[in-house]
Amino acid sequence: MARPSAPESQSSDSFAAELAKVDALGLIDTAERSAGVETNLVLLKHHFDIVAKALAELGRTAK
Amino acid sequence: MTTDTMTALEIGAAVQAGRASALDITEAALEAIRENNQALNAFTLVADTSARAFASEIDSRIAKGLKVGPLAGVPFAAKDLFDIQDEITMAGAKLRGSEPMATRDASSIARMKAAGAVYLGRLNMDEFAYGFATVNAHFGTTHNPYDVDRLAGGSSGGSAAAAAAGLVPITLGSDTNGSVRVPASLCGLFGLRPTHGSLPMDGVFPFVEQLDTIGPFTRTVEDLATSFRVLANTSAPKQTKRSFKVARLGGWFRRNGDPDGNDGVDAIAASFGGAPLVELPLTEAARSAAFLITSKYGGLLHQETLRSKAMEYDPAVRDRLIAGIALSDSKVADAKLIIEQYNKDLQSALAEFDLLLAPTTPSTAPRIAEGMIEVDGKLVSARANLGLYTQPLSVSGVPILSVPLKRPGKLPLGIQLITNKGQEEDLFSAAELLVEAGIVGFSATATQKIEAVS
Repeated sequence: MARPSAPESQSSDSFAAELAKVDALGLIDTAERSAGVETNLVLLKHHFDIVAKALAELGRTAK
Repeated sequence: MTTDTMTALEIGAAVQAGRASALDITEAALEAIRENNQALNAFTLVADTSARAFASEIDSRIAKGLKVGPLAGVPFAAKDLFDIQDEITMAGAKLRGSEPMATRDASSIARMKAAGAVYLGRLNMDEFAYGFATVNAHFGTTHNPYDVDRLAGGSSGGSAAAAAAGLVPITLGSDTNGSVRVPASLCGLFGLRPTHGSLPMDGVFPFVEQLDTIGPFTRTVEDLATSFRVLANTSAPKQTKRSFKVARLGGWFRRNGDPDGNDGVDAIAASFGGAPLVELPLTEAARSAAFLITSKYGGLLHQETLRSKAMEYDPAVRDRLIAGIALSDSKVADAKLIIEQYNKDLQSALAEFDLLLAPTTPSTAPRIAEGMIEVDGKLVSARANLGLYTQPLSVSGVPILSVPLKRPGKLPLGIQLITNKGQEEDLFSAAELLVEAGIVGFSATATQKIEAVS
């Protein structure tokens, strides 16, 4: 299965950190993780970007 | 007399009056399940022995002149996440197959039984309720009674398919982000997400406790109202509201989906004398916030089990849960800020209007083989996106009733009626008015084949 594209933008560092966290949790074999979990991390990043943009528009600071 | 078209209240009245026996009704429903379940895959367990025993007990009480409840002899079934005494609560997960059997019924099940309803079995769901499709790697996909090549929706898909096919008149499901409302829309049923915290959750396998509710599916408003009152341990109000100040939710809710949904909202609005469009500008962000919070807390709930049994999960569920665990706390905190503001906006709208209207799903039931729906001209996963319109509203905790549009010759599509916390009775009154106006109501499916019982 093709690996999903790494997300771009300001959150890419945290994406890498989250991938590292998945590995550190040791819940799943890394080969399995590369296909399924990364796809979901990309999806979560997409949703967080929407949240962060809305917070910025509200004048509140995304952490 | 046939039970596929009889309502729960009609069955209850016939049994109480001695015009039908609870055991005959139960046998008819069991026969219907035997005939139809292979095509639908709605039931994962049929509790025929205990059902016959309970039905006989109801008949015996009636014969002795003892009091029985309003649902005497009415068959019902429950999503596979309710505790039922002497059954394993699987929650759609094969890895729970070695868990001990429940030692008592969930309070909600106990209340249904106390009202005389006869429990017939467990209903299929997405594993651990994580999905909008009822595509389950272990128990298979539930099929839509209107077209068995299509999804029933989820995660309470078995509950919707069983009620829509007329196998039982009442089923119970759960709704965290839309898991009652989505399958109700796709299967043409009335489906209620009650006020968060209003119905007992003990003995219900959790998903995201901040959002979890249980709720009934039925083919009529009256059955839904009665089921809710039984579950909530309340009585019918002495007076019902007959006039409503209504608004249509605009923006996000009118942009992404099937134009028939907007037309349905407009028809309902017109029947109430018109309704302005009200936009909640943070809806898209609230949907994303709910997505993040569900991932995080859903994941945390499973963290310990994942350590030892990760590969026994449905892969699609496992991967979502693990990604959620890895989500940082700061992102979850930001999501909560959005939800806080969105709830204020929604409360402002509900301070001005009695009812808000929005489509329930962005499309009718998609084909199982495709598993995709079209949103804004793009094909996206049905499993993740059928809750596009239900998920943002879930964070508010308000009661929401999905009503089926009357659509002769077309696949079902539901509309959400939204009101203030604790005002479920207003939802029932509004839905009754819409049924009287001919805009809303259940239509027979292709799989209603229950034999005559008398």
